Amino acid sequence: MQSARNGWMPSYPTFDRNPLTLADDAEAAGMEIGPYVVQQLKSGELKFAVEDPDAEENWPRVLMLWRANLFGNSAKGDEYFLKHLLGTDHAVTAKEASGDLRPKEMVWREQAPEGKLDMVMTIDFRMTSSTLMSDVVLPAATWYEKHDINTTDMHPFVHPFTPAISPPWQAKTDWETFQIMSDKLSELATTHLGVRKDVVAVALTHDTPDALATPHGVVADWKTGEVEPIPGVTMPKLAVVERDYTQIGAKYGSVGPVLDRLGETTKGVTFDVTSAVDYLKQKNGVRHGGVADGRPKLDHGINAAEAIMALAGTTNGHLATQGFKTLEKRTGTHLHDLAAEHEGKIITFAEIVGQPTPVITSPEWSGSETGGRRYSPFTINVERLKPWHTLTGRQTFYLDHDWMDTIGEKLPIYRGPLNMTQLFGEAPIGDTNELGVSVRYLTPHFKWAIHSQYQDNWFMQNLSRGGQQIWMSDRDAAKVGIADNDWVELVNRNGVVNCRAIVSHRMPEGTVYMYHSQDRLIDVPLTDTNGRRGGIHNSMTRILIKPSHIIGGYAQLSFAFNYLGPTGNNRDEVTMIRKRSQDVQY
Amino acid sequence: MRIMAQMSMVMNLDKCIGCHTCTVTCKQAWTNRTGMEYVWFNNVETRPGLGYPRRYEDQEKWKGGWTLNRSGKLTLKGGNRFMKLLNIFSNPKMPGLEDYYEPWTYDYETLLSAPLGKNFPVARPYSLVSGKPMHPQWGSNWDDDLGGTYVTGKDDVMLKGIADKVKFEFEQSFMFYLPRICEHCLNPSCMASCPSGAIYKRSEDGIVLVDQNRCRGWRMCISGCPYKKIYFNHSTGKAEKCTFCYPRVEVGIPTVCSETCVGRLRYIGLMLYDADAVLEAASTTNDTDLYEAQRACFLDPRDPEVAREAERQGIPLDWIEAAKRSPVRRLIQDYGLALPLHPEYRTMPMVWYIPPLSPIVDAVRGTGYDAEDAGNLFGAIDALRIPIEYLANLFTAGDVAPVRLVLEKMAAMRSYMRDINLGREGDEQIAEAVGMSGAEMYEMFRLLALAKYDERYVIPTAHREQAHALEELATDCPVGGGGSGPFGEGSGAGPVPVAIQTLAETKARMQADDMAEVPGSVSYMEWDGQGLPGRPSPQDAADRVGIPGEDGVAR
Repeated sequence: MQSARNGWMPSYPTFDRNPLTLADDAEAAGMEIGPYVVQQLKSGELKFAVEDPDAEENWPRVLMLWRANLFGNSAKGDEYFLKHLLGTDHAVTAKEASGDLRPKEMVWREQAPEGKLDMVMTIDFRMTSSTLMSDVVLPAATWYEKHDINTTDMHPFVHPFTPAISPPWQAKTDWETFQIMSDKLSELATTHLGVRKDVVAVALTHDTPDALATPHGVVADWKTGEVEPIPGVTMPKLAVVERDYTQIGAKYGSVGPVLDRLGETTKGVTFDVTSAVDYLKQKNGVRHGGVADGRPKLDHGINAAEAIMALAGTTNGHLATQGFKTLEKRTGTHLHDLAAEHEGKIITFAEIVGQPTPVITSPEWSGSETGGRRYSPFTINVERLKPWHTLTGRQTFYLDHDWMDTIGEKLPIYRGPLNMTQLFGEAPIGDTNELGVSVRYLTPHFKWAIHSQYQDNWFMQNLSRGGQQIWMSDRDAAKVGIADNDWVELVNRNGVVNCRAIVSHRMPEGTVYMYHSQDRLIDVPLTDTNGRRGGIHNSMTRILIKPSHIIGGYAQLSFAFNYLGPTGNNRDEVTMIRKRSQDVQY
Repeated sequence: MRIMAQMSMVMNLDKCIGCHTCTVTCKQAWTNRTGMEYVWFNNVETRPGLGYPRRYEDQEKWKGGWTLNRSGKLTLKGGNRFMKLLNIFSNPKMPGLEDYYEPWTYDYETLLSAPLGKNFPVARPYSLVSGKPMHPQWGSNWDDDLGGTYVTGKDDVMLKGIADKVKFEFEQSFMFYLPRICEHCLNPSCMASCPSGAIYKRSEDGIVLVDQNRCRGWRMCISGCPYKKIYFNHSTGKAEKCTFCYPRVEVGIPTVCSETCVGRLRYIGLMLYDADAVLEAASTTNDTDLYEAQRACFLDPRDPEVAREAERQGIPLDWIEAAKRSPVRRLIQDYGLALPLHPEYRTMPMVWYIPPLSPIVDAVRGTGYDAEDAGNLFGAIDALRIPIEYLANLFTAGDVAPVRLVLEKMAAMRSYMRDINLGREGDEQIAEAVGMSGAEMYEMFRLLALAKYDERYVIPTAHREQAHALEELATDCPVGGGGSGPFGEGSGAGPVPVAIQTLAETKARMQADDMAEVPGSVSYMEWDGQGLPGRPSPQDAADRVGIPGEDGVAR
């Protein structure tokens, strides 16, 4: 709660009032948004939603999954998702926290809500636990049925996707799907939403002055009156965005004008992209009439790919060079030669279709690919003395933040796994009882599927064991009479898993591995425990947020989307594992 | 001296991460069709382990390959042709489905069609043999990453004589991957076992193929091959095998398994050899001398005498030049790094391997010692938990000396290169300790670590004037049994000739630095999806096709 109200980490929904209403209320009160929200928060009339997440007005209502298998894969604490988010059958047996373990500030409701969502929509091209749990499934084009691009810092190339066939039946490309939804939304908006003002609370952000919000790491909370609530310093920034819902469709299909005015900012470097936008007008053509008049067209996957590549330094040498020159003014070190060899080059879609094309070194990243080098992070910091994005500008190991002090981690130290026996009453590691042997439960990346589920196709299953599997040590297996390829059942307070055991002397005693991303849809029987379909690797886990991961507004400990924020911390889990009845039922 | 050119491969096991990309892409390209469900022309085995099919290396059971008879004459281990005729209707020495595995698929449709129910629907495994629900009990890669090996590992044929040295315990565990394809042997026992003369070794490049028109399905080749790399298509009733992707190789691009290898551990190139010397080499008395005997058959194309004679005997000049640049020749002959797989089978295999040093390096590092120090590594090679005898059983018929030398060379290379990478002078003494010079060591490092596509694959193109002998159409299409083509179900109604032009363009695209360099490059964005882009007319392809020879031997 403190992290949210201090603006350290984003939290949505942010307030217990609709942010569209909030803007109207401020106007009715004749106040600016900032002072109005501050006044309302101080008086207690407005609250952060996280203060009472079980209150109906704070529930998430609509969930849209775009090519992600939440319920069959990535939901850490999957069974809790099934119970509380969907309100369906689940295998959670954990008891509610007892009195002294309950949060002191957060509102505690005796009956935890089940079934918060009104609707789940999934866009996918395969049947997964998520599509099976969805109210609406939109069929998607596969990689071989659409134009798209992808890349990673693991190799220096931008890869194109080109259709080998047209999307079959009603499947659509992602670009088409979102365009159609946007158009429909705009059509409905003429009667329902129109033009509204939206109050967006923004966390204190990495590589901005927000990172100086906590001098000396001394934490002061406006809630306790230590300081005043000041947006962007002691609480989240508040932005007001005008949303013309009737124009979402029209805007979707074009590059908007805000880019020209504000440029693009990445890691503290602002790029002037006017020349890139002019290039896109030539390359993609422009819209005529309406809100997007004269703006570059985005009416196809290829156009969208061209826009991404024109607007990124890694694929537009002019931007990369310009970005380095901007950075040079702040660092005083010579940098723009890193991109100079490609200054005149913009990588196009046709070019990457023709052959693999390496990207350009750019200040958006910290590595150098100049002269055909392969990427490795922080090369520019080390070799060109670009300051590190830390409190000191150097590699920093000492963190003098109050919270780090409280938990004893001002310097890096080893922290053993959480004691799940003490915390949640699980059996100590190595103990045996009627549920089997207690082991540490890890869910590492599978060699054939890091986060994807394509190991459940015919080829990969015929090259492995044919279904869900868990690796365990021969020593643990011997304790409870498990042999290689036996059906086993795993039970802990979070859920139940049924799968085959791969018993190997390669596994250390006391630990089992259930690799990522094995959905329950391939050869998973009904469990002995509850007679329902066995769970997935994340059925045995739940999210445990570590407080030090939600510190924000302090130099390198500032929120950055997909860079710095809390993780699931699901690696300390333990489970019982036993041989189940071998005559399995489906 | 009869000089022949052999298309050959070396795999550097130090680099194999066991991803099986080679396996999957090969399967997709060649065996993704009815009758071949259980067949993997390319497979990757975890060793120690049983392999695929299980215990294929047990020649006391399977009687594959060659042996010396009492008078020292080379003879098929499975018996001579007369013996084979006696057994022709009941071939006893063939792996059964239980030795391969019972392939399965899933009722994926259930996931789409299941009615509203209490539980998640589930796709169950169904046997591709019986069509009935099944519980997989073994597969083509069942003991992947030592799964179940604590029990099954004792049956690994390569543990013979060293079982006391290999403990299947966590603290002593070790493993490495062994990718396998057909060995395209110089002295193929499959070919010699065939009663129909359907198997032939191409005289141009030594690739061993099955003539689908002549194969009568006796399956003697399956027994005869000690590597069990010929498979029975139970739909067509004919034998099929790895083709070394000859339609690709003919236009100078590597096999699918090599092309897609993530670890870049495969090398393809030519070996020139004296065909007249093969029989004598294969008849070498001691198994442990076979490795050197085979090396002695190879000819050095850089020797002007050899080059002149090769040209006189009709080997095209560009092939001789390619043999000079061959990375395979360098690894086998110049550096002595690559070793044959099971020379004791006496088939003179031509897919060789660099044994893995990395498990030893990892183990040294794990104990806190400097794993780049040549002295530490030399000591560890004999002392550590990968028993060198295990590698020797695979690659040198049990003789540890050549394996030790290879591992020492690789250890020395690591150590030598560390000095250079740290900006110091390379230490000549390290190189000399393994009988090399520093300059040689650097070139070896370059080939192992830096070599790009066109250094790893030096593949001269087939000569159009010899096209009739390559018999493209005659060999790549299994006949009968429903008319599926060689590239998977539904690829087309009739035989499809390999489109040389398309493949040549693919190669040009891969090797070009710049789009502008690619002549006649095909834009797939403009391709309408009909046929192949830029494919030559069927008549053009047909004109190049000759009639199979009638002599039943190598053509």
